Parts: sequence; structure tokens; C-alpha cells
Amino acid sequence: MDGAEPKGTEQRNREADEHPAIAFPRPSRTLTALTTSAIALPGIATPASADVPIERATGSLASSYYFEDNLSPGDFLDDGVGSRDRYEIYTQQLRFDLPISDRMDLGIDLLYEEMSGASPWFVVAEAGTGKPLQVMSGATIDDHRFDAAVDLDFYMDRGKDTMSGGFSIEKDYTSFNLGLGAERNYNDKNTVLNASLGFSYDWINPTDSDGAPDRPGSDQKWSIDLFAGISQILSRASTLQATIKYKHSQGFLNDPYKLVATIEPNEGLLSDERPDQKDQVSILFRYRHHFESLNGSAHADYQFYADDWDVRSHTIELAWYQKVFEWLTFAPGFRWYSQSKADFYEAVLPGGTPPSERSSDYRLSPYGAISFKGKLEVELRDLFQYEPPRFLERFGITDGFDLLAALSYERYLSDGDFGLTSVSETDEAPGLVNFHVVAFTLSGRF
Amino acid sequence: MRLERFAFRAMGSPCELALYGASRAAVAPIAEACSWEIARLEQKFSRFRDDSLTTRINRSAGDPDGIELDEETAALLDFADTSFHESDGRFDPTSGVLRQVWNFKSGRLPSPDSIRQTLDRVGWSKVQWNRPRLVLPTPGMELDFGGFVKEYAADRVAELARTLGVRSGMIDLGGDLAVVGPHPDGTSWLVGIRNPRHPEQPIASIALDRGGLATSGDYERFMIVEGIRYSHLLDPRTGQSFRAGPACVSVTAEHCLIAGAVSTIAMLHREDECAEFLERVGLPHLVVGQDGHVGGTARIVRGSAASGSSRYSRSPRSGSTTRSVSQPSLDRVSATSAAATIEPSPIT
Repeated sequence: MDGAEPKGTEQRNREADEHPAIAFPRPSRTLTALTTSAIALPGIATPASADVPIERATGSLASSYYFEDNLSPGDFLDDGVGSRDRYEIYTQQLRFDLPISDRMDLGIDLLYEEMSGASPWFVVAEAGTGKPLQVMSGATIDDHRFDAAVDLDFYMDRGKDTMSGGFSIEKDYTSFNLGLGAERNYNDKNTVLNASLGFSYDWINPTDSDGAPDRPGSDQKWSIDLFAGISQILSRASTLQATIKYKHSQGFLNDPYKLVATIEPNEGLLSDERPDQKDQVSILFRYRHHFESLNGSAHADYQFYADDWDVRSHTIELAWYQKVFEWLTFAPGFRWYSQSKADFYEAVLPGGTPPSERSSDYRLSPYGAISFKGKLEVELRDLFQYEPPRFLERFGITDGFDLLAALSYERYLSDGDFGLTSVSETDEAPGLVNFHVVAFTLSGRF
Repeated sequence: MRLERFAFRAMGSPCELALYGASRAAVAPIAEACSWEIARLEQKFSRFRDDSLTTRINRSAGDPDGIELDEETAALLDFADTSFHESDGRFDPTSGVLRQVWNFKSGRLPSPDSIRQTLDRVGWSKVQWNRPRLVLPTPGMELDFGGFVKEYAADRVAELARTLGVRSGMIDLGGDLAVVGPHPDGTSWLVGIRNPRHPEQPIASIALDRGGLATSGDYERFMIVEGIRYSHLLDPRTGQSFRAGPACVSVTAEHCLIAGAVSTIAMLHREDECAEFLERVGLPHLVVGQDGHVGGTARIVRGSAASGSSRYSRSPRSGSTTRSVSQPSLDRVSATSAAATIEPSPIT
């Protein structure tokens, strides 16, 4: 939620935790049932084995279309310049996972996205009522982003180590990152511990900085993040995961494309100014319960987030994964989100000396959000057989092909009234966003 | 590290424990503990012993109060219950009484009437199983743990050996195999699978680095009546010898118990449906058809086990790698272990 994130990543950051890469469900229902009753026997080991790299190469192609609703007329100040058309983002993503050796596999991620639309610029108070109105940027922003990442997994008897690196480039933003991770399992794989360390360095070169005096020519920021997690199998049918994340960012954290207005119409517009560092902590719990008789699983997640800008948030997400046929899964879901505002957030600044830190960014405002989600997954195993050349077997290309296709849709609505506490009309950001996301993923295992 | 073999007879079969250790003296006590555990299970579940739990259960048949069972037995019956439902009745722990009418030494087929009468006493769905209480409603009904207790014993003994510190070894209870751990250099065990029509020759070898392997074949007992081969595989749903299945099915799984149940169930599928069933379950397997054709998805080392250089077929889904092509260590364990007992029995 930093101001100076690459455009478009705001939603992806939120989504990243929620949509882990599609995994092929392996054991059949019969095998799961037999295994469940077998490991209930005394003196029988639960399947415990050295972690091994993926055996068969997989490739997946994901496309998504994210589009925001136009602002409603009551929240929008039509100054003749700003556009009500908000953001839309097309994303194409390609991922490969290849076994390299008995102890190593390689993942490659490539992403390309196109963004266009107007974005919230600043907020003014409506004459007479004082109600905040959003002023939008005029010129439609068109940008592209390219992102590439590589990760290497090294496997050992009780887990794996991961090294990763990547970069992201767009017209006004360049970012690179490095990461190290470790995963170990204990207690016959009933307990898995994870930890990781990440570093990123970003360069911001705002466009049109000549025309906007307060916009910097260029600036940088860096961040490190730490992550630790534990996953515990609680019973035959249930697992619980708990993770804690910490992130420290330092440098240019302002949003160079946003301004702040004051209640006095002739005091002019001020630049968006935020502290030059930020500490964020989040704690996440995930619970999964499989209901054998219903052939379905319940997923329940809760996350608490806090940062030293005084934002606190709670997220609750519920989903039900129903296996309709052996090859078809339907998963409806619901998400609720509530956050308090950053201490320097003001939709419109009061008169007098302006504070040194200020922002009218709706992402720092107090609000709540709800999402309705639906996902369909189709898995077709052994679609065709073939005899690959020997040298390809090294890369996990074997003699079968499985296909997994997933189609998902999310409707996201945010409002001052959806959160834990009601938000006064003068605090509520008029730029709060509603959007749709449609995503389609096609994965093949060779 | 030395590979020490301990051979003995238990559960009506030749058994062998192959354990790696610093010396024979170092692993002998472990082998002894394993053999005690096997003896305990045999004593508890044998249908031939007067003092066994199985005999007590079967004596309770017809008693509306039934019998209360211990945790271990209850868990075994839960497994049998799951297998019964997952196999649409092909796996049935009450089918043992069919042996009363099928005598494979007689060379005579049972009469349709006698089969029909016996079937009245067959059917897990007739049994009232409310853990921990079991009621066999009809006098003469019987439970037979023989179809899965040897597999369970193999898994338990492998786990016992691991608990006692053995990292590399193989448990072979009459062809029901459970891996303690791969060879010390990390290579897999190679398991020879008998040719069902020429039992002294291996038809293929399967590489196994963990879990278990079980084989069901139609060759163990059979009779030929008027030119038709009737195998000992009796279909609990019809009471008939099942003749449409393949000659032999080997399955590998995380547990020998599961491999055993799945191979038994697979043998009661028509040969043309057998592979599809095994694919659906998703376990590596080897199927030998009635015509001797070998197929399947296990890590098969084609031809003789000693050749060692053949390519593996499609990888198993259970996680072992397909990329190592040659097996430096070609230690063989016969899947039907009569011929595999090398050392004289140290434990009796």
C-alpha cells in the first residue's frame, strides 16, 4: 500500500497471498480414503519421505483482466479535465517449473501487463456541504510493465532451500529483488517450518516531472522483509498454518502522482508527503478442513495487519472447495476487509499551516471492503500419451500430459461503511474503488 | 554397513528381514523384535488358532450383542470398511467362508446351490460395525483378516525397525514388502516380479525406495476343470472364481497395506478395466495380462532384474525420481520370497 508502488501492483500484492500457484491435486479420492484409514492404525508411519523436486515439467499461462468501476457522479468533481474512467489492467503471465536434477528444480516467471485509465489525483470539499469530491487525473495513463523472476529450489531430506531473484520494469519505475528461503519438515511431515528473507531496491522516475514542480526528478527506496511460518496437520482432515511477516521500507514512499488540497480554495495544492520509512507487520492464520462425506473442503483465513503509519487492518476470507466430479472443482468464496486510516491521512486538509506529512490517497483512508469470488477448476489427466525423445526426460518431459484449467471471477466493493467502525462523511475517501477481476489459467504437466 | 538377512516362516509364508547394520550382532536384536511383533499379530489374527481374537470374533456370530474390539482391531476393520466401499464390494473381509465350498485340491467345482447358501453368510454390509462393537448377525458368518493383516504387519515391522534405528532395509512377509529405507547409498531396492505362468522366472523388476509393494496373482492356487482354469480369487459378490481378471497385479504405495488392498481389488476387475481402475486410484502398478503382456506405471526395470540398464517407464506419482536410469546396487528381493531366503533362519 505504499504510494510509490509500481502502478497496478496494488491489487496484485493483495492477491499474491490469496492465489498461490495452482497445484495439481495428486491423490485420488480412493487413495485418500485408504491412506486416511491406514494411518489411523497404530504403529503405521504417516507417509514421510525426503522432499523431492517436481518430477514432471509444468508450464502455465495465466491471463487476467482487472477493471475498476467508474466513479459515481456524487463522488466526482467534473472539472472538465479529469476522466471518470478508472484503471484497467490486462495481465499475461507465463510460468515454467522444470526439474534440473534429483535435488533441484527451477521456476521461471514472466509477466507482462498493460495499464490504462485515469487515477485519483486529489480531493476537494464540495462548496456548501463540505462533502469530499474526487478530482481525477486528466490524461489517460498508458503504461506497460514487464516482470521476470527466477527461483531455484534445492532439496534435502527434510525440506528445501530456495534462492530467488527478479526485476520489474515500467516507464517510471524499476525494481529488483532477491530472496532466500528455507523450509523444513518435522514430526513425519506433520509440521512444516518456513522462513525467508527478501530485499528489494526500487527506482522511481516520475513522468511529467517538469510540469509538476513538487514531483521529484527521480528517487529511490529499498525494503527488506522477513517471513516465518508454521504449518501443522491437526488431524486427518484439518491443517492450520500461521505466518508472521515483517517489512521495513525506507526512502521515497510518497505517491508522486497525487496531490492534497486544503479546505481554503485559494491555498493551492500540496504534494503528497509521507514519512520516509515504514514498518509493517502482519499475522495470518489459515485453516483448512476436508469433509470426506461432502467431498469438499472449507478454507478459513484471518489476517491482522499493522504499520507505524497507524493503519490497522483485519481480513477474513472464507471459501468452500467442492469437488463436483473427479475432474471438476467449484469454489465460491467471500472476503471481508476493514482498515483504519493512516495518521496523516486527510481527504481535505483543514486551513492553517499544512502538516509536513499528508495524503488524500484512498488507500490510506479508513474503509472496509467485501469481495465475492467464484472459481472453476477442471483437471484432465492423461489427455494424451506420447514417446518423448530421451534427452527431454531429463527435464521432466515424460510420456503423459495432464491439463488443469481454472477460471475465476471476483467482485470487489469498498466503502466507508463496510469496515469495523463507521467513517464520517468528511473522512470517507470519495475515490474508494470497486472492481472486477476475471482470470483464466491454463496449466500443463508433461 | 553390511546387509544382514534374517529368514523365517510366519503367517503361513516364508519371510525375510533384510537390514543394514554395522554387524550381524548389531541388528540381530532388532530382527528378533520384528519377529516377535509378527508373531504377536499372527497369534492375534490367525483363523487357525483356537486362542486367537479372530476365532473369538467368529464364535460370536449370531450373538446379537456381538463383541467389543480393541483399538488395533477396530482400526483394521475401519480400513477394511473403507476398502469395501471404495471397491464396490470386491474387497470383503467376510468372504473367507467361500473357501468352505471351493476346494482347489478337489478338482471339482462347487454346486450352484452350495455357493448360494454360503453367500447368505457373506457380505460386509450385513455386518453391524459400530466401533468398538461388532455384530456378525448370522451364525456361521466369519471374519478373515488374512487379506490384509500380513500387509499391515509388514508396515508395522518396517516402522518398528526405523524406530529401532535401522535406516536401510526391506521387510518381506511372503511377498508383501515394506521398505525400511533405501540402500545406504540412496539407491532403490529392486524387486523381482514373478512371471505368473513361469513362477521361477522374473518377468520384470520394480524399483522401490520407500513405502510398500504387494502382488496378487491367480497362480497361487487354482484348478483346471474341463479345460477351464479356476483361480483362488473368489468374487465376494457372486461367490464365483473370478476368471476375467489379469494374471497378476503388483502395486506400490506409501503403505504395503494399501498396496495389498488395491492389488486385490484390481485383480477382481476385468483385464481391460484393471489398468483404468489403477490409473484412477493413482498408484504405480504393474499388470501382467493373461497373455503375458506386461504393462503399468511402476518404476519397472524391464526384463530381468539383473540387466539394470533398461529405461524406466512413466514415473510414479508418489514422488520418486525417474531420472536416475541405472541402479548401481542391484540387490534383489523376490516378490514371492520362497526363493529369496539366503541365510538360514536365525530366529525361531
